[in-house]
Amino acid sequence: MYIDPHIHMVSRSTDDYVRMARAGCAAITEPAFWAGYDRSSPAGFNDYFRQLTDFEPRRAAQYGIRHHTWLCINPKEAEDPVFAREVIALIPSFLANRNVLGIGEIGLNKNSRNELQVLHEHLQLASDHGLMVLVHTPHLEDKLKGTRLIMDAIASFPKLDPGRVLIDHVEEHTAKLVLDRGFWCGMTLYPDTKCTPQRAVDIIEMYGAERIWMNSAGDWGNSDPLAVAKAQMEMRRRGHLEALVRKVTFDNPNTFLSQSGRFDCTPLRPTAPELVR
Amino acid sequence: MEHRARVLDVAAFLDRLDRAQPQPQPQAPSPSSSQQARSPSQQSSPSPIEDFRVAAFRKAVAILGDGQTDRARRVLELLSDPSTEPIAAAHSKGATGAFDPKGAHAS
Repeated sequence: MYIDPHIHMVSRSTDDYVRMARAGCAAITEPAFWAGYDRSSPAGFNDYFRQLTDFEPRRAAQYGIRHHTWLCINPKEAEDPVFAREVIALIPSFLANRNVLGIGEIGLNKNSRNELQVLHEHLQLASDHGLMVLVHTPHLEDKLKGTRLIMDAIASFPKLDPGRVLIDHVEEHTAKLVLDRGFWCGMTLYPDTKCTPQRAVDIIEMYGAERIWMNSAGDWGNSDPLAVAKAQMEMRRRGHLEALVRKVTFDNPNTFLSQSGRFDCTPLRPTAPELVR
Repeated sequence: MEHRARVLDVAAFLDRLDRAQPQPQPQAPSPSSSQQARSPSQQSSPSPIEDFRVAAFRKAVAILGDGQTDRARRVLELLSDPSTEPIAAAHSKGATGAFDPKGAHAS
Protein backbone atom coordinates (compact mmCIF):
# COMPACT_ATOMS: atom_id res chain seq x y z
CA MET A 1 0.00 0.00 0.00
CA TYR A 2 1.22 3.50 -0.73
CA ILE A 3 0.18 7.14 -0.99
CA ASP A 4 1.02 9.31 -3.97
CA PRO A 5 1.02 12.78 -2.43
CA HIS A 6 1.54 14.72 -5.66
CA ILE A 7 -0.19 13.66 -8.87
CA HIS A 8 -2.33 15.53 -11.38
CA MET A 9 -5.15 13.12 -12.07
CA VAL A 10 -7.27 15.59 -14.00
CA SER A 11 -4.83 14.95 -16.85
CA ARG A 12 -4.87 11.14 -16.51
CA SER A 13 -7.39 8.59 -17.71
CA THR A 14 -9.24 5.99 -15.67
CA ASP A 15 -6.77 3.43 -17.03
CA ASP A 16 -4.26 5.01 -14.68
CA TYR A 17 -6.66 4.82 -11.75
CA VAL A 18 -7.05 1.09 -12.46
CA ARG A 19 -3.29 0.56 -12.57
CA MET A 20 -2.70 2.64 -9.44
CA ALA A 21 -5.41 0.81 -7.50
CA ARG A 22 -3.98 -2.57 -8.48
CA ALA A 23 -0.49 -1.38 -7.45
CA GLY A 24 -1.79 -0.54 -3.97
CA CYS A 25 -2.40 3.19 -4.09
CA ALA A 26 -4.67 4.07 -1.17
CA ALA A 27 -4.79 7.85 -1.42
CA ILE A 28 -3.53 10.73 -3.49
CA THR A 29 -3.25 14.46 -3.19
CA GLU A 30 -3.54 16.64 -6.26
CA PRO A 31 -2.13 20.18 -6.24
CA ALA A 32 -3.51 22.78 -8.63
CA PHE A 33 -1.13 23.08 -11.58
CA TRP A 34 -0.47 24.58 -14.98
CA ALA A 35 -2.64 22.97 -17.64
CA GLY A 36 -0.04 23.43 -20.37
CA TYR A 37 -1.52 26.74 -21.44
CA ASP A 38 -2.45 29.94 -19.62
CA ARG A 39 -6.06 30.00 -18.56
CA SER A 40 -7.81 33.05 -19.96
CA SER A 41 -9.92 34.12 -16.99
CA PRO A 42 -10.45 33.63 -13.27
CA ALA A 43 -13.66 31.85 -14.22
CA GLY A 44 -11.50 29.17 -15.81
CA PHE A 45 -9.80 28.64 -12.49
CA ASN A 46 -13.15 28.55 -10.73
CA ASP A 47 -14.17 25.66 -12.97
CA TYR A 48 -10.83 23.94 -12.38
CA PHE A 49 -11.21 24.24 -8.62
CA ARG A 50 -14.70 22.74 -8.92
CA GLN A 51 -13.19 19.83 -10.82
CA LEU A 52 -10.56 19.31 -8.10
CA THR A 53 -13.00 19.49 -5.19
CA ASP A 54 -16.06 17.76 -6.64
CA PHE A 55 -15.65 15.65 -9.77
CA GLU A 56 -12.15 14.26 -9.27
CA PRO A 57 -12.74 12.90 -5.74
CA ARG A 58 -15.79 11.07 -7.02
CA ARG A 59 -13.90 9.71 -10.01
CA ALA A 60 -11.05 8.45 -7.79
CA ALA A 61 -13.42 6.88 -5.29
CA GLN A 62 -14.72 4.46 -7.91
CA TYR A 63 -11.27 2.86 -7.82
CA GLY A 64 -11.00 2.83 -4.05
CA ILE A 65 -8.59 5.77 -3.99
CA ARG A 66 -9.17 8.70 -1.67
CA HIS A 67 -8.54 12.02 -3.44
CA HIS A 68 -7.44 15.25 -1.78
CA THR A 69 -6.41 18.55 -3.28
CA TRP A 70 -4.45 21.77 -2.83
CA LEU A 71 -5.48 25.06 -4.43
CA CYS A 72 -3.51 27.95 -5.94
CA ILE A 73 -2.52 29.65 -9.15
CA ASN A 74 0.59 27.88 -10.38
CA PRO A 75 3.89 29.81 -10.62
CA LYS A 76 3.90 29.44 -14.41
CA GLU A 77 0.79 31.63 -14.50
CA ALA A 78 2.03 34.06 -11.87
CA GLU A 79 3.78 36.62 -14.07
CA ASP A 80 0.57 38.73 -14.07
CA PRO A 81 0.02 39.62 -10.40
CA VAL A 82 -3.30 41.37 -11.06
CA PHE A 83 -4.72 38.26 -12.67
CA ALA A 84 -3.17 36.06 -10.00
CA ARG A 85 -4.76 38.13 -7.26
CA GLU A 86 -8.21 37.57 -8.79
CA VAL A 87 -7.62 33.83 -8.74
CA ILE A 88 -6.29 33.82 -5.20
CA ALA A 89 -9.45 35.66 -4.15
CA LEU A 90 -11.49 32.63 -5.29
CA ILE A 91 -9.69 30.16 -3.03
CA PRO A 92 -11.37 30.93 0.33
CA SER A 93 -14.76 29.97 -1.10
CA PHE A 94 -13.43 26.43 -1.73
CA LEU A 95 -11.76 25.89 1.64
CA ALA A 96 -14.86 24.38 3.19
CA ASN A 97 -14.55 21.36 0.89
CA ARG A 98 -13.35 18.45 2.99
CA ASN A 99 -10.79 17.29 0.44
CA VAL A 100 -8.92 20.62 0.42
CA LEU A 101 -5.71 20.20 2.44
CA GLY A 102 -4.10 23.59 1.89
CA ILE A 103 -2.39 25.87 -0.62
CA GLY A 104 -0.36 24.35 -3.42
CA GLU A 105 1.54 23.84 -5.51
CA ILE A 106 2.88 27.35 -5.02
CA GLY A 107 6.45 28.44 -5.52
CA LEU A 108 8.55 29.85 -8.34
CA ASN A 109 9.16 29.01 -11.99
CA LYS A 110 11.74 31.39 -13.48
CA ASN A 111 12.45 33.16 -10.17
CA SER A 112 10.97 36.50 -11.23
CA ARG A 113 9.87 39.37 -9.03
CA ASN A 114 6.22 38.94 -10.02
CA GLU A 115 6.32 35.23 -9.23
CA LEU A 116 7.82 36.07 -5.84
CA GLN A 117 5.09 38.62 -5.19
CA VAL A 118 2.37 36.09 -6.00
CA LEU A 119 4.13 33.51 -3.80
CA HIS A 120 4.03 35.99 -0.93
CA GLU A 121 0.30 36.53 -1.43
CA HIS A 122 -0.35 32.79 -1.35
CA LEU A 123 1.73 32.48 1.82
CA GLN A 124 -0.27 35.29 3.37
CA LEU A 125 -3.48 33.42 2.59
CA ALA A 126 -2.06 30.23 4.11
CA SER A 127 -0.92 32.14 7.18
CA ASP A 128 -4.28 33.90 7.62
CA HIS A 129 -6.25 30.64 7.41
CA GLY A 130 -3.79 28.34 9.19
CA LEU A 131 -3.35 26.22 6.08
CA MET A 132 -0.64 23.79 5.12
CA VAL A 133 1.54 24.52 2.11
CA LEU A 134 2.83 22.39 -0.77
CA VAL A 135 5.68 24.01 -2.67
CA HIS A 136 6.85 23.56 -6.25
CA THR A 137 10.54 24.26 -6.79
CA PRO A 138 11.66 25.39 -10.25
CA HIS A 139 12.91 23.11 -12.96
CA LEU A 140 16.48 22.28 -13.88
CA GLU A 141 18.93 25.21 -13.74
CA ASP A 142 16.46 27.38 -11.81
CA LYS A 143 15.87 24.95 -8.96
CA LEU A 144 18.73 25.75 -6.57
CA LYS A 145 18.23 29.52 -6.70
CA GLY A 146 14.46 29.17 -6.51
CA THR A 147 14.54 26.80 -3.55
CA ARG A 148 16.58 29.31 -1.55
CA LEU A 149 14.29 32.21 -2.51
CA ILE A 150 11.21 30.18 -1.59
CA MET A 151 12.53 29.14 1.82
CA ASP A 152 13.50 32.73 2.60
CA ALA A 153 10.00 33.87 1.59
CA ILE A 154 8.35 31.31 3.87
CA ALA A 155 10.62 32.33 6.74
CA SER A 156 9.21 35.84 6.52
CA PHE A 157 5.84 34.48 7.71
CA PRO A 158 6.39 33.55 11.37
CA LYS A 159 3.00 31.82 11.66
CA LEU A 160 3.96 29.29 8.97
CA ASP A 161 5.52 26.29 10.68
CA PRO A 162 8.15 24.61 8.46
CA GLY A 163 6.86 21.29 9.76
CA ARG A 164 3.61 22.00 7.91
CA VAL A 165 5.31 22.94 4.64
CA LEU A 166 6.38 20.40 2.03
CA ILE A 167 9.01 21.52 -0.46
CA ASP A 168 8.71 19.27 -3.46
CA HIS A 169 10.88 18.22 -6.38
CA VAL A 170 14.11 18.21 -4.33
CA GLU A 171 17.22 16.68 -5.83
CA GLU A 172 20.72 15.96 -4.58
CA HIS A 173 21.68 19.66 -4.45
CA THR A 174 18.59 20.86 -2.58
CA ALA A 175 17.48 18.00 -0.32
CA LYS A 176 19.83 18.80 2.57
CA LEU A 177 19.17 22.53 2.28
CA VAL A 178 15.45 21.90 2.72
CA LEU A 179 15.78 19.38 5.54
CA ASP A 180 18.26 21.55 7.46
CA ARG A 181 15.71 24.36 7.60
CA GLY A 182 13.06 22.12 9.12
CA PHE A 183 10.81 21.63 6.11
CA TRP A 184 9.50 18.37 4.74
CA CYS A 185 10.86 17.45 1.34
CA GLY A 186 9.43 15.53 -1.57
CA MET A 187 11.31 13.70 -4.29
CA THR A 188 9.47 13.63 -7.59
CA LEU A 189 10.03 10.57 -9.75
CA TYR A 190 9.60 12.19 -13.17
CA PRO A 191 11.48 11.19 -16.33
CA ASP A 192 14.39 13.30 -17.56
CA THR A 193 13.77 16.51 -15.64
CA LYS A 194 13.61 15.28 -12.03
CA CYS A 195 14.59 12.25 -9.94
CA THR A 196 14.66 8.59 -10.83
CA PRO A 197 13.57 5.93 -8.33
CA GLN A 198 17.23 4.96 -7.98
CA ARG A 199 18.38 8.48 -7.14
CA ALA A 200 15.48 8.96 -4.75
CA VAL A 201 16.51 5.88 -2.80
CA ASP A 202 20.11 7.17 -2.86
CA ILE A 203 18.89 10.40 -1.25
CA ILE A 204 17.11 8.45 1.47
CA GLU A 205 20.27 6.43 2.11
CA MET A 206 22.31 9.65 2.36
CA TYR A 207 19.97 11.84 4.38
CA GLY A 208 17.66 9.45 6.19
CA ALA A 209 13.95 8.76 6.09
CA GLU A 210 12.64 11.55 8.28
CA ARG A 211 10.46 14.30 6.81
CA ILE A 212 10.80 12.91 3.32
CA TRP A 213 8.46 11.37 0.77
CA MET A 214 8.26 10.35 -2.87
CA ASN A 215 5.69 11.18 -5.52
CA SER A 216 5.09 10.77 -9.23
CA ALA A 217 3.73 14.22 -10.17
CA GLY A 218 2.05 12.35 -13.01
CA ASP A 219 0.55 14.88 -15.40
CA TRP A 220 -0.17 15.58 -19.07
CA GLY A 221 3.52 15.20 -19.95
CA ASN A 222 5.69 12.09 -20.20
CA SER A 223 5.25 10.76 -16.67
CA ASP A 224 4.49 7.58 -14.79
CA PRO A 225 1.61 7.33 -12.29
CA LEU A 226 3.15 4.14 -10.94
CA ALA A 227 6.51 5.76 -10.12
CA VAL A 228 6.05 5.46 -6.35
CA ALA A 229 5.27 1.75 -6.63
CA LYS A 230 8.41 1.35 -8.72
CA ALA A 231 10.45 3.18 -6.09
CA GLN A 232 9.12 0.71 -3.53
CA MET A 233 10.51 -2.07 -5.73
CA GLU A 234 13.88 -0.34 -5.95
CA MET A 235 14.06 -0.19 -2.15
CA ARG A 236 13.23 -3.90 -1.92
CA ARG A 237 15.74 -4.67 -4.66
CA ARG A 238 18.43 -3.09 -2.50
CA GLY A 239 17.36 -5.12 0.51
CA HIS A 240 15.80 -2.38 2.56
CA LEU A 241 13.43 -3.49 5.30
CA GLU A 242 9.74 -3.40 4.52
CA ALA A 243 9.30 -1.05 7.48
CA LEU A 244 11.46 1.52 5.71
CA VAL A 245 9.58 1.07 2.43
CA ARG A 246 6.29 1.63 4.24
CA LYS A 247 7.65 4.60 6.18
CA VAL A 248 8.72 6.56 3.13
CA THR A 249 5.78 5.70 0.86
CA PHE A 250 2.92 5.56 3.35
CA ASP A 251 3.63 6.57 6.94
CA ASN A 252 5.52 9.77 6.15
CA PRO A 253 2.91 11.18 3.74
CA ASN A 254 0.19 10.14 6.17
CA THR A 255 1.93 11.86 9.07
CA PHE A 256 2.50 15.10 7.19
CA LEU A 257 -0.88 15.28 5.48
CA SER A 258 -2.84 14.34 8.62
CA GLN A 259 -1.75 17.64 10.13
CA SER A 260 -4.44 19.18 7.94
CA GLY A 261 -7.11 17.45 9.99
CA ARG A 262 -8.69 16.29 6.73
CA PHE A 263 -6.43 13.68 5.21
CA ASP A 264 -8.02 10.24 5.02
CA CYS A 265 -6.30 7.11 3.78
CA THR A 266 -8.60 4.53 5.32
CA PRO A 267 -9.68 1.82 2.89
CA LEU A 268 -12.39 2.81 0.47
CA ARG A 269 -14.57 0.23 -1.25
CA PRO A 270 -14.04 0.36 -5.01
CA THR A 271 -16.99 0.01 -7.35
CA ALA A 272 -15.53 0.18 -10.86
CA PRO A 273 -16.02 -3.17 -12.67
CA GLU A 274 -12.94 -2.64 -14.87
CA LEU A 275 -10.74 -3.23 -11.82
CA VAL A 276 -11.30 -6.94 -12.27
CA ARG A 277 -11.36 -7.14 -16.05
CA MET B 1 24.33 -3.60 -17.37
CA GLU B 2 21.91 -0.66 -17.11
CA HIS B 3 24.74 1.74 -16.30
CA ARG B 4 26.91 0.32 -19.06
CA ALA B 5 24.06 1.22 -21.41
CA ARG B 6 23.89 4.72 -19.97
CA VAL B 7 27.61 5.28 -20.40
CA LEU B 8 27.28 4.16 -24.01
CA ASP B 9 24.42 6.60 -24.52
CA VAL B 10 26.61 9.46 -23.32
CA ALA B 11 29.59 8.27 -25.37
CA ALA B 12 27.46 7.99 -28.50
CA PHE B 13 26.04 11.46 -27.90
CA LEU B 14 29.52 12.95 -27.68
CA ASP B 15 30.50 11.15 -30.88
CA ARG B 16 27.41 12.57 -32.52
CA LEU B 17 28.44 16.06 -31.47
CA ASP B 18 31.86 15.52 -33.00
CA ARG B 19 30.33 14.46 -36.30
CA ALA B 20 28.08 17.50 -36.26
CA GLN B 21 30.95 19.98 -35.95
CA PRO B 22 31.28 22.22 -39.04
CA GLN B 23 34.16 21.12 -41.27
CA PRO B 24 36.46 23.76 -42.84
CA GLN B 25 36.26 24.09 -46.63
CA PRO B 26 39.31 22.49 -48.32
CA GLN B 27 41.58 25.20 -49.85
CA ALA B 28 42.75 25.08 -53.47
CA PRO B 29 46.55 24.38 -53.54
CA SER B 30 48.85 27.30 -54.57
CA PRO B 31 51.02 26.81 -57.73
CA SER B 32 54.19 26.73 -55.60
CA SER B 33 53.07 24.01 -53.17
CA SER B 34 53.55 20.34 -53.78
CA GLN B 35 50.57 18.34 -54.79
CA GLN B 36 50.27 16.57 -51.41
CA ALA B 37 46.96 15.12 -50.41
CA ARG B 38 45.83 15.91 -46.90
CA SER B 39 44.67 13.09 -44.78
CA PRO B 40 41.11 13.20 -43.60
CA SER B 41 42.29 13.91 -40.07
CA GLN B 42 44.36 16.87 -41.29
CA GLN B 43 41.46 18.21 -43.30
CA SER B 44 38.95 17.89 -40.52
CA SER B 45 40.32 20.26 -37.86
CA PRO B 46 37.11 21.12 -36.10
CA SER B 47 36.16 24.65 -35.15
CA PRO B 48 33.56 23.93 -32.51
CA ILE B 49 30.84 26.45 -31.88
CA GLU B 50 29.14 24.97 -28.89
CA ASP B 51 26.05 26.26 -27.26
CA PHE B 52 26.11 26.73 -23.53
CA ARG B 53 24.30 23.46 -22.89
CA VAL B 54 26.96 21.42 -24.67
CA ALA B 55 29.72 23.30 -22.88
CA ALA B 56 28.03 22.59 -19.55
CA PHE B 57 27.49 18.96 -20.51
CA ARG B 58 31.20 18.48 -21.18
CA LYS B 59 32.06 19.99 -17.79
CA ALA B 60 29.52 17.70 -16.15
CA VAL B 61 31.09 14.66 -17.82
CA ALA B 62 34.47 15.75 -16.46
CA ILE B 63 33.03 15.67 -12.94
CA LEU B 64 32.07 12.03 -13.41
CA GLY B 65 35.71 11.07 -13.82
CA ASP B 66 37.40 13.38 -11.32
CA GLY B 67 37.59 10.80 -8.57
CA GLN B 68 35.76 12.89 -5.98
CA THR B 69 32.47 12.01 -4.31
CA ASP B 70 29.06 13.76 -4.42
CA ARG B 71 29.09 13.72 -8.20
CA ALA B 72 25.33 14.05 -8.62
CA ARG B 73 25.16 17.09 -6.33
CA ARG B 74 28.18 18.70 -8.02
CA VAL B 75 26.79 18.14 -11.50
CA LEU B 76 23.47 19.70 -10.48
CA GLU B 77 25.26 22.67 -8.92
CA LEU B 78 27.38 23.08 -12.05
CA LEU B 79 24.24 23.24 -14.17
CA SER B 80 22.48 25.68 -11.82
CA ASP B 81 21.98 29.43 -11.99
CA PRO B 82 24.46 30.83 -9.45
CA SER B 83 22.72 34.19 -9.06
CA THR B 84 20.69 35.01 -5.96
CA GLU B 85 18.39 37.89 -6.88
CA PRO B 86 15.01 37.48 -8.59
CA ILE B 87 14.98 38.38 -12.26
CA ALA B 88 13.03 41.44 -13.37
CA ALA B 89 10.49 39.49 -15.44
CA ALA B 90 10.01 36.02 -16.85
CA HIS B 91 9.97 36.11 -20.64
CA SER B 92 9.63 32.37 -21.02
CA LYS B 93 8.20 29.50 -19.02
CA GLY B 94 10.59 26.67 -19.81
CA ALA B 95 14.03 25.73 -18.55
CA THR B 96 16.95 24.70 -20.71
CA GLY B 97 18.90 22.30 -18.50
CA ALA B 98 21.95 24.46 -17.91
CA PHE B 99 22.66 28.02 -16.84
CA ASP B 100 23.34 30.38 -19.74
CA PRO B 101 25.89 32.96 -18.55
CA LYS B 102 25.16 35.15 -21.56
CA GLY B 103 21.40 34.84 -21.26
CA ALA B 104 18.62 36.60 -19.40
CA HIS B 105 19.97 35.40 -16.07
CA ALA B 106 23.38 36.96 -16.51
CA SER B 107 23.97 39.76 -14.01
